[in-house]
Amino acid sequence: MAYIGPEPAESFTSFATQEFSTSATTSYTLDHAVANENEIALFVNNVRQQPGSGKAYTATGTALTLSAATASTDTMYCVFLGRALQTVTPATNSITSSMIASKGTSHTLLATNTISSATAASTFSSTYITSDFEMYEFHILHATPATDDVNLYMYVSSDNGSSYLTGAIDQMSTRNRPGSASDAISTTDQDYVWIGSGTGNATGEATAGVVKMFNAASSSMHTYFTIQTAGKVEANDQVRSIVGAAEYDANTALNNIKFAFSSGNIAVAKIKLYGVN
Amino acid sequence: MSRYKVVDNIRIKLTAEEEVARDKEEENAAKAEKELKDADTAKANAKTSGKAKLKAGEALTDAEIEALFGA
Repeated sequence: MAYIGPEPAESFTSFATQEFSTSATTSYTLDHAVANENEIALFVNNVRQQPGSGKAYTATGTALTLSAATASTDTMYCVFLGRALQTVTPATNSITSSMIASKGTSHTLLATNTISSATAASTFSSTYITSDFEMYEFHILHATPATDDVNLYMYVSSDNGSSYLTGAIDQMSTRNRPGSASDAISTTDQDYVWIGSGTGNATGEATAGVVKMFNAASSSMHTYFTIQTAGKVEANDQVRSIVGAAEYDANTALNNIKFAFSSGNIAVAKIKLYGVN
Repeated sequence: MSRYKVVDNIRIKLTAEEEVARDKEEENAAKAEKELKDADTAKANAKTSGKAKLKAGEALTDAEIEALFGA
């Protein structure tokens, strides 16, 4: 049979009910207005009453009138037959971002890249880097290199990874290294956003943090990045950080982001991509 | 040895072109890092020599002044 209107994935029907506090009266007020007594089923002491004039009860609007007064010891309730309520529980993971009217209140997890064996790069494609979101967040839960003491970089592409853009990323960040003065990363026309400093490859060592990306899909606004990461460095028991900002210095819509170490493979990593509006 | 990439959580072997591009990336990264390390070393050396000259009452170079005073 054809279904008129959007068909719910799953549904069940429930009915509005009302319990009355009874007393020695024939007049009660309904919670919901009805056209007539046939729109409710009335039960007194769990016995269904016959609707209609000259029968057990009549109803119009919110006025319910019994043909005989109840006693305070009676129990009485009604079921609103005309107010069937449909409740729909969407299937798990069935809500997409475009179905949410206001998307500014929460993050939408779009993808998780998990690497458990040597891999050159962790990439998020144009499937997820779209105009759906003006802001994206990359949560690097951990990224450990195969080679000791290498930097973690982020490359950008406008052709979904067929090539990665070069010479157009400017960065101003602070790289904090124990035992050293804090270094400013002040670079222009670079190939990458520098997000992890000197990551070690021993068990437990990694770079972790968050990179936020703004206006990636815009062709009239530069893409901006903010970086906040922590990293464990080789065998000298140091933790390092990079905090700062970067910019893709052109009005080019980006649709692919790649993470790779400055040298060698990623040994293990878990990076989550969130869309934020 | 073949290299791989993970795209949207799917592991894919790099194409020949991507292998070349990855080599180039690593090469460029090494070059940029060497320039940065050389600059770090030069700054540290200038700081050391500048301190020694200050103690000895000798004239500083511009690089030593910048390394010591940031100007």
